[in-house]
Amino acid sequence: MVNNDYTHWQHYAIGGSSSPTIFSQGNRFLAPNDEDHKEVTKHFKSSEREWKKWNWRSEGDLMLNGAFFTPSGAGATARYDRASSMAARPPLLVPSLTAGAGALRCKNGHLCGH
Amino acid sequence: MSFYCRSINGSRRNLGYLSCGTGNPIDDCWRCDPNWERNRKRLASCGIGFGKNAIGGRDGKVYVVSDPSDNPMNPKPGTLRHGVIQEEPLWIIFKRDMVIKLHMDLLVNSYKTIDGRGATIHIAGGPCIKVHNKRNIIIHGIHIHDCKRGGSGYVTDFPNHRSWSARSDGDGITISGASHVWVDHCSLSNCFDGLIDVVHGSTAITISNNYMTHHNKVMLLGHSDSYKDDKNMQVTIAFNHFGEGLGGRMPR
Repeated sequence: MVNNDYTHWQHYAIGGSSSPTIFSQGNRFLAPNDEDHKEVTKHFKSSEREWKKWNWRSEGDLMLNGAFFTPSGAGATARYDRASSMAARPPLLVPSLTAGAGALRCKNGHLCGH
Repeated sequence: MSFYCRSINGSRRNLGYLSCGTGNPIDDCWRCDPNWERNRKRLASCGIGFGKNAIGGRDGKVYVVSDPSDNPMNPKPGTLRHGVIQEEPLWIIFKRDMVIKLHMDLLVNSYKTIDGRGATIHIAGGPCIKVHNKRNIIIHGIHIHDCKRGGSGYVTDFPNHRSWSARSDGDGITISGASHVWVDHCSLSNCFDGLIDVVHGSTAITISNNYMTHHNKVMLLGHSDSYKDDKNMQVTIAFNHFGEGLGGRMPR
């Protein structure tokens, strides 16, 4: 997950079961006002003892309105280098990087806009 | 490529609010070009992340969709389904704005690009897109919403070949047993199951620049803990906006 803009969620943003590797870099997470759902992450079908071993890592994410990411596993190890597919940009740039998300309007001879 | 983008950026002031050179590496690769229509296939070299080698229909002809109708058993030339089932690589574009209500999942074959630029294209109100055991597919610039479960039945999946298709999941896009798939700049909302589900040993997938709204279970990566082939699944999720009305699974 790289440079995404998470502006709305009701329950959680990123979840998993069965030991997935998750590398969250340079995302912007804006938690809902609901005090019970500030956590970005959710671990399914597993005891805490078990999921503490899963490789979930947050690096350079911007946490707003009380959002928090619960990291687990080995942290900054070689395993994460393999999971990383691209370089992230600073999360303050995310609103402009994602301003054109979704289908664009394109007319021949003009730049595609939104 | 970098020289090209820089020289275009020099005249950026005249382009008003239109974003170009924003630092989004995918967009900066092609959006600074007002002649995007002539250079459509440039997009195929703009991917990033695990799905960046998806070339879609880059090496094939351009196929123009002119007819929004859908006949899953006998797809008519000019329809979207007739294009996606061909065996040769095709870069599929649209003649005008259309709402395409499919009657069965659209089974996309390998080496296809579905490029909605230049028209407003909605795939909505019926079953939607499925990539099953295929590779090298780009889906760009399509509005995909209100996707429903269809019935089971025979569907033409290659020219002169039909196969039995089980009931669809009701996903916006199902990516199953597939590799080198890139979904970029689509708007997805309000489907029966997932907006984009990646399952059954799929890998080398990039999901970028999409705007997702109004949906509970947004993206499922791997449908079952006991499915061992999904241990190798690699998916990049970048520059998406997860917006209003979403529940969770971004992804799970």
